Amino acid sequence: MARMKFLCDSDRCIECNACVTACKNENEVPWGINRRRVVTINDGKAGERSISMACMHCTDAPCAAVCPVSCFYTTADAIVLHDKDLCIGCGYCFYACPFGAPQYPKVGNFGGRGKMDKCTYCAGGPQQDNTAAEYAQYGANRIAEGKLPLCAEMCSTRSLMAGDGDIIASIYKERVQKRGYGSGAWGWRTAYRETVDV
Amino acid sequence: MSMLRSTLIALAAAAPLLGAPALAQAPAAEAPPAAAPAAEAPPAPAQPQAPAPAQPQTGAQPQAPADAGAAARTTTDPQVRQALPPASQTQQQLPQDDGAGPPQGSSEVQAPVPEVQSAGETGQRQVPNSADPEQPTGTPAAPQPQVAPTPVQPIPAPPPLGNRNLSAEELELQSALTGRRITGIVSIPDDKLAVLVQPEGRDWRAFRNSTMMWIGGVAILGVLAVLALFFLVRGRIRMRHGPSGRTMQRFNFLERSLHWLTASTFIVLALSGLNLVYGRHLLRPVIGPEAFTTVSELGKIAHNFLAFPFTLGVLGLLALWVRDNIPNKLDWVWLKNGGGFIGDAHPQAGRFNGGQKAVFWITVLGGGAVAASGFLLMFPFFVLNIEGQQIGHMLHSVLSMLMIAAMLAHIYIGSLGMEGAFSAMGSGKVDYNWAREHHSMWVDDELKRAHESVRPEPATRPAGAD
Amino acid sequence: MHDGNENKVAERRGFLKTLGLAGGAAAAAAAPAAAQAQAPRPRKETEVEKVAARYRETDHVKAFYRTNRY
Repeated sequence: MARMKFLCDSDRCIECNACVTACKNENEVPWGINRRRVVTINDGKAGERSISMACMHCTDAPCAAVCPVSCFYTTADAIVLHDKDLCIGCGYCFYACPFGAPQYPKVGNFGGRGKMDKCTYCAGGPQQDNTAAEYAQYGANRIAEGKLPLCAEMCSTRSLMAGDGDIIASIYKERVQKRGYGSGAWGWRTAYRETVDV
Repeated sequence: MSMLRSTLIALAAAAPLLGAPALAQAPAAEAPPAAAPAAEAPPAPAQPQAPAPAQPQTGAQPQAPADAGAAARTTTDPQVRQALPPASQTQQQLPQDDGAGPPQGSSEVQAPVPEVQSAGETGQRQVPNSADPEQPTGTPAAPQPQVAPTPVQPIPAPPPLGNRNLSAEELELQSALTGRRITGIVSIPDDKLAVLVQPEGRDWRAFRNSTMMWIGGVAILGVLAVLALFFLVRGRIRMRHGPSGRTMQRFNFLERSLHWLTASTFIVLALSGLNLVYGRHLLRPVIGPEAFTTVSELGKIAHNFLAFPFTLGVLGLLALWVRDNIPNKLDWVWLKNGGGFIGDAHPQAGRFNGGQKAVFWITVLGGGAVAASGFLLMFPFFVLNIEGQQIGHMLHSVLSMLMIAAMLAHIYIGSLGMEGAFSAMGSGKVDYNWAREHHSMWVDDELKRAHESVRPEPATRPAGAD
Repeated sequence: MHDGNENKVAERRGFLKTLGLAGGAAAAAAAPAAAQAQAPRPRKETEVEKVAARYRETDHVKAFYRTNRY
């Protein structure tokens, strides 16, 4: 069974934010929320690195573990999704997520949080596939259409890859062999701490 | 030892370039003759087996005239590049030539190789101009593009901390090893998202799902068990001489209102809070996901709104009763006698005995801390960052659970546990016998005050006024 | 307000009653018709459907992999 993963090759990322824009547009992400973002480390200094980060779709998802209403589920493709109808906007998933993937629209009182929204790997949510209802709540379901997340498809330098974990790992390995570099597969050491194998 | 050797080799190799005639006369003597034939060699021979990148380490190409600038340009770190022994050159191959994979060092993609593989130099390979195994450290013909080195030996790690600029690889490794956050910059308005990775989330999850649940379970169930046991063994604490039928006022209307305001909000806050922790395991399987979400959502709203009246109540109780709750020696005696719960002692007490004072301070201090952390949680990231929010949550939850345990005991003793106690807060009036038995000093004070209000002290009466 | 008027009143009552009934019937008929004019509301996925695998290696996906190998 294919296990979906993201891999951002931070040697190639040029901080163009095409992935951010693509995601925002394709999924009509609400105002103030960025499912995907580009973080630049050491900006302006030697060894500057940019990485595109969204949800890492962890195997033992911390967000799912701490949710008080248990609104998360993992599909057979290892994509972590959640049910917005069950979400109460408590914010625990953001506390637990090492990557800051969950976001909340500011609709409530005080610093109140609305329903959590996060990267869905362009796989929609627990509404029927590719319906208006699913799009309104969760955005596009490209996986069901037989495509891949738009952020990776739109990456200008082919830095961000998405797809079957084995295949994109082998692609990355080919790049390393052919071009002789390695950035250490940013973020994977934290997400897949126990079994990092690039 | 090897550092010394590599230094010497480096110096020897660099000496002619730098024009230092004193050192290494022998290599310098070789250099010009070797340079001549090398200069005539055809450029870029397609010899996959030849040690083609013969001098990437020295960065010196045979054709160019002695050009210190070229040397300086191509050897940004002579220590590193020229530390490689000449013997290793024969093992190196150009990756583009036969695709036979990278040289040994760079296949370790997880190992950071700071100086050698930094951003600007990767992928810049140049086909060398000569296939000679021993490149003279002579004179490049023209400015040569940089040749990326192919490290083979492991390079000693730089000192872990210090003022030097850490490259991103080093940063990531350090953070991964020490469990710290990795932060950068983002171009979107939300600054929180500049944190790339926060490993503390793992620790918070473990605390919340494991430690905190255990603390709460043990505290609350433990207290309930102890109370049940106490009730079974001791039963309800009765008034020794039975009710007298005469009452006196213990708490006025304001005191009772504030108490019940605090108490009722506390109960709803406690239940909604416990629901967030245990509801997923206890309630959700019973009523189903949708109903449970509705209950939890209402609970969350109630929890947020009732925080304000609860805080007001606590502050009000603090203002009203702080003077009567200052600990004194009587309380120590009361405690030593087990508060009268154990054995037959009847220690004296003022308006509030030691146990009540403990409840007061738990409510004020614990409740104050819970309220403060709760407000910080309710206005997330106004003041604190993610780590602060997590710590605030841990504090809030643990203190609340301990408070719930304490209040369970308080509720027990004020209702079931002691005959005649509830009316103090219910109607405000207590039986005289009960008061005599449990708060004798307070009764004395009250009686003295009552007498003085009816009949002032003799001193105030003028002498001979009768 | 005598027989003549009573007849008129009865007529008006009858007229209004018919109006009311007709209106009610029209509204009652319109409501389900309007609902059916939109697409039938999709139900949420069942537990099994939620976790079903949806990724497949289509030509589109294969092209993505191919163009990423450079």
